[in-house]
Amino acid sequence: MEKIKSLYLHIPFCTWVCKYCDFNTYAVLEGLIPSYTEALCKEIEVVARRYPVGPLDTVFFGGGTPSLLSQLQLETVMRTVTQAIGLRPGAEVTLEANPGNISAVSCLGWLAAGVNRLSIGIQSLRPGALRFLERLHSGEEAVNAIRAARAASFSNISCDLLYGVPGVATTAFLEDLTAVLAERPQHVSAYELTVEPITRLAQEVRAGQVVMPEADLQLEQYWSAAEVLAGAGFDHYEISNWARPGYRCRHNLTYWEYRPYLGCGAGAHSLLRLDDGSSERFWNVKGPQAYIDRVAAEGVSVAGRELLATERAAGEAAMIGMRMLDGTRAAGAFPAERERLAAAGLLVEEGETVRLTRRGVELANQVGAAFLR
Amino acid sequence: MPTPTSLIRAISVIAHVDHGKTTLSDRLLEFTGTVAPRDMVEQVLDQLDLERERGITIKAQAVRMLYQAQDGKTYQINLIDTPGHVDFSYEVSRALAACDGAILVVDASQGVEAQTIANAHQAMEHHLKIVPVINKIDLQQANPELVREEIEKALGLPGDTAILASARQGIGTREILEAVVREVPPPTGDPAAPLQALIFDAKFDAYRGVVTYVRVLEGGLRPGMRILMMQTGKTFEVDEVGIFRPDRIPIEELSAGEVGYLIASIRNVRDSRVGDTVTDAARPAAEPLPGYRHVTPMVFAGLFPTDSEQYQDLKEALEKLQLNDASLIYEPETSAALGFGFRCGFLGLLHMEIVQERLEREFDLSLLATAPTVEYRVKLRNGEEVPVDNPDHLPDPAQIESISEPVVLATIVVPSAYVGNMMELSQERRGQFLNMQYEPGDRVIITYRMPLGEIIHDYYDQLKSRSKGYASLDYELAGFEEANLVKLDVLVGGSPVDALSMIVHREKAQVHGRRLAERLKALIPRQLFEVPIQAAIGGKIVARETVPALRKDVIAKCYGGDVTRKRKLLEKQKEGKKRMKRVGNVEIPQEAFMAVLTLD
Repeated sequence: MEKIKSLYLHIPFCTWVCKYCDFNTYAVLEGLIPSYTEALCKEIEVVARRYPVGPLDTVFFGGGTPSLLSQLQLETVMRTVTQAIGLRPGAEVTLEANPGNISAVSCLGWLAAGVNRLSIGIQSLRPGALRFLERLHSGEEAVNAIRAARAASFSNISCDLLYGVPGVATTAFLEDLTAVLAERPQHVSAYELTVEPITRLAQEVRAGQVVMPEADLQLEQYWSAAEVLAGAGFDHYEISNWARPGYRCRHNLTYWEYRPYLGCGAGAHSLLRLDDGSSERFWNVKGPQAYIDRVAAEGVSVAGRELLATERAAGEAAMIGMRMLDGTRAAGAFPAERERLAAAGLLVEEGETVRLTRRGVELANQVGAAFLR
Repeated sequence: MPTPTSLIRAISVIAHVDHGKTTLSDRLLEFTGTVAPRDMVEQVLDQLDLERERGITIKAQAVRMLYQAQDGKTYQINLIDTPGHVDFSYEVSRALAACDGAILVVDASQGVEAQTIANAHQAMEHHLKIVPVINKIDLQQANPELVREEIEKALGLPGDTAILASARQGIGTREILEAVVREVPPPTGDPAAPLQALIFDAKFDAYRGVVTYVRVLEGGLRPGMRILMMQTGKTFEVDEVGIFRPDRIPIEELSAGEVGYLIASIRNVRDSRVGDTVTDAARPAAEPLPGYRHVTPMVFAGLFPTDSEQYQDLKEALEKLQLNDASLIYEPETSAALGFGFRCGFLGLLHMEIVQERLEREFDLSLLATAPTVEYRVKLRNGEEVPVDNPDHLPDPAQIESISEPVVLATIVVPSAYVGNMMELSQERRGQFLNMQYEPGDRVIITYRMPLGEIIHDYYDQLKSRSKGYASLDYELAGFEEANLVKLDVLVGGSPVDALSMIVHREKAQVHGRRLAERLKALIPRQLFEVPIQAAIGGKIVARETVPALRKDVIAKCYGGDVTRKRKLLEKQKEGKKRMKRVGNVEIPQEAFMAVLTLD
C-alpha cells in the first residue's frame, strides 16, 4: 500500500450556512465543538495506528469554518497530529478561514499552532454580491483580513473568489480580483457559483426568484480572470486554481495526482492506493453528533466504503488528473479515448502526458467522463 | 364417460376494450366452481404478466366449466377468451369459429363502441348465437335502457332480452349461464366421423413443446394418434390430449364438440398454425375447415441492439419469442447508421410494442426501434413489382413506375359532438369518406377508407384526444391503392441516417420534413460540435435546423471529498449516452428514431 502523506481534517461548523453551500456543515451546533475536537483527536490516533501514514507532507483544516476553532483546540489537534503521525519538516499546514475570524491575535495563534498557509473565503468584495451570497463579512473586512494575515507574517495566503454571481458584471468581478491581487496573495481559487441541487439557492432558481447567468457570461468571467491572473504572474495549474511559482497547494495536488490521503472528522473521505493499482475509498458519518458518538464507541466512524478495481481506479485517476492544466500521465491506459478527445479538440497529447485545451477546460466533464467505464 | 353433445356448449365473450370482458369471464369461472374464489387472481385468464399489467388479452385462453343448470342437468361449457385488440383480429376470428355462441358484453354507460360492432358482426358471420349482456349496471352513469336501444338499432339484436349484469358485483351471472344453456345450440359434429379439429391458438411450453388449442368439430382426438396438419401438411404423433380447468388436465379423448389441447412434440408454433385443421393422418377428413388465412404482418420496423455486442443475444431472443408467436417475422437487416439488427414484421403497433417490451424485459436487452412503417408495393418501369417494407430500400425514383400503399376500412364510433373533429382528422390523414350513420344515444358510426401508413402514425391517439377519449376505432385491411409517395431522407451532421428515412405523400413531404427537423433538434442533445439536421426529398434539402454545440460542461470544484460524487455524476451522464446510438460523430437518443410517429 502506498504510504499516506496527506491528512484532511473536517470542521463541520459554521456561524451561518450560506445559501449556495452544500458542504457537510452546520450552523447552531457550535456547542459541539469541544467534544468534536476530542473525537477528532481520538480518530487521528486510531487511524495513525491502522494505516501506513506519515510523516505528513500536508495537513488541511477544511470546513465548514475551521477558523471557529479556538487557539487551544487547534493546538490540541495539531499536537495530536504531530505526536500520533508526525510532520515532515516544511510540511504544508492549511487552515480555511473566514475574514470575520481573522485578526492579528488569531493569526499569531494559528502560526503558533503550526499553521503556515491560510485560505481565506473572500468570495466577493461587493456589498450586493456578499449580501446575495449571505456572507457575513464586508469587502473592507476581507481586504483587512488579508493585510492582517500578511502582517502576522503568513507567507502563503490563498484567496477564494466566486464568479458568475447573479448581478455581478464581468468588469465588477475583475475589479474585485484586481483589488484582491493588490494585497499580494500567493494563491487564488476562483470558482463558478454553482447551483447545487439541495440548497436554498437551487430552490430560489427553481422558483424563478434567481436567474443564473448564461454559460457565455460565466466563461467570459472565467477566462478574463485567467488573463488577469496570468498578467499578475500566477500559473493556472488547475481548472479553478492559480498560484505564484512555488505556491501550488500541495495538499490539493495530492487529490489531483491521485495519491492516497486520510480524512478525519464528520463526513471526511479517505483514499488508499493499493499496490495492484486498485484503490479503496471510505468515508465517515456526516452528522457531527453521530460522528462523536461513533468515535467514542469505536474509535472511528466509517459510514461507507468502495473498492475500485485497477481499471476503474485508473479511470478515476485520469478523470481527476486531467483537471491539472499542465497535464497528467494518468490517462495512459486510455489510448482510444485520448485519441478521440484529441480529435475533438479537447486534449493535446504530449508524449505520455495529456493536457486540456481551452475548449477542453470548458467541457472538462466530457473529457473526464470519457475515462470512466 | 364423454359428455353427450347435447350438453356441450362452446362460447366466447366478446366486447369492446374495457367493457368488462375479463371480469365477467372471471365471475363465470367462480360461479361454476372452476376456480375457487380463494385462488382467484384478478383476471385468471390473462396469463402473461404483460397482459395482466396492460389489462388486455393477447393470447386466447380456453377453459372448461361444468354448470348445473336449473333444468337439473350438468352442462359442459367451454369458454374461449379472445384477444381484445384490433392487431389480433385474425386470432379473434379463429376463436369465434371454434364457438357456437358468444356473450356480447356492452358497458352500460359507454354503450356500443367500434369494437362492439366489429366483434358482433364477426360473431354473426360465424353464425354464432349472440347473448347480449349489459355490464356495469351498478355504475351511476349506467343507462341500460339506452344501451338496449343501441343494441337493437346498431347491431340488430334483440335489446329487450339483454341481460343486466355487473361482473364486478356478481349480478346476473346465473342468468347469463342459463341463457347460454338455453339459447346457444349444442354442437352437431359426429364423434364417429373422420377427425376435424380447428386450431385457435398455440403456445410454446419449454418442457412439452407446442401446446395446441383445438376445438374438435368432427370425430375424436386421442393420444397415440398420428395427426396431419392439413395446411402445412406436417404430421405428428399425439402424446397427450386434455382440457383446461384452467390448468391443463390430461384426458383420454377429446370428442366432437369439445374444446381442449393436444401435445405432440411440435417444436415450433409455426407448425401449429392458428386456423389450420387437425385431422387423422390414417383417416383424413375430405377437406380442411374453411377460413384459414396465412397471417401477414401489417407493420414493419427495425430492431437494433443499442450495444452492438448484443446482436447475437437479440437473434437468440427473437428465435425464442417466435416459438410462441407465429405472427412475428424477422430477417437480418444492416443499417449504415444503426449497424446490425433485424427487420421485423408485426400484426400492428400494439404487437410491436409488446414484442419490444418482452425482448427487453424477458431477455434483458436494450433495443432501439426505428419508426414503424407499412409494406409498399412498388411497380418498376421494367414491369417488375417489389415489396418495400423499409423506406431506405425504396428503389431509385427514376426506376419507379408507381407506388401502392395498403389501405384499410376504418370504422369510427363517436358521440355526434365530435364528428367534425373526427372528419377533420381523417381528412388530414388522407382518409376517403365512405359513410356516416346516426345511431340512438347520440352516437355516429363513420367509415373511412384510409392508408394504413397514416393510421400507424398516432392516428388512434389523435382520435382519442380530439374526442375527449370517446371515439373508438376498428379497421380491417382493404387492399392496396396507388398513391403519390416520395421518400424523405434525413441527414444528421451531414450524413444521411437511413433509419430516419420515411415514405410520405408528396403533398405532405415538405411539412413533414420541417416538423421532423424541428423535433430532432429538440431531441438530439447538444454535442461537442454544432450538428446540422436536414430533411431532403430526392437530394433537395427541404428543411434545416441546427443543434448548437455544447457550450460549457465543467465542475468548478473537485477535491478529496467530492471525487466519488463527481465520478457518479459523470458515470450517470455516460450511462445516458450509452442508451444513445452513435451515428458518425453524433449521439442520437432512442426517441429521435420514433420522432416521425408524432409529426402531425
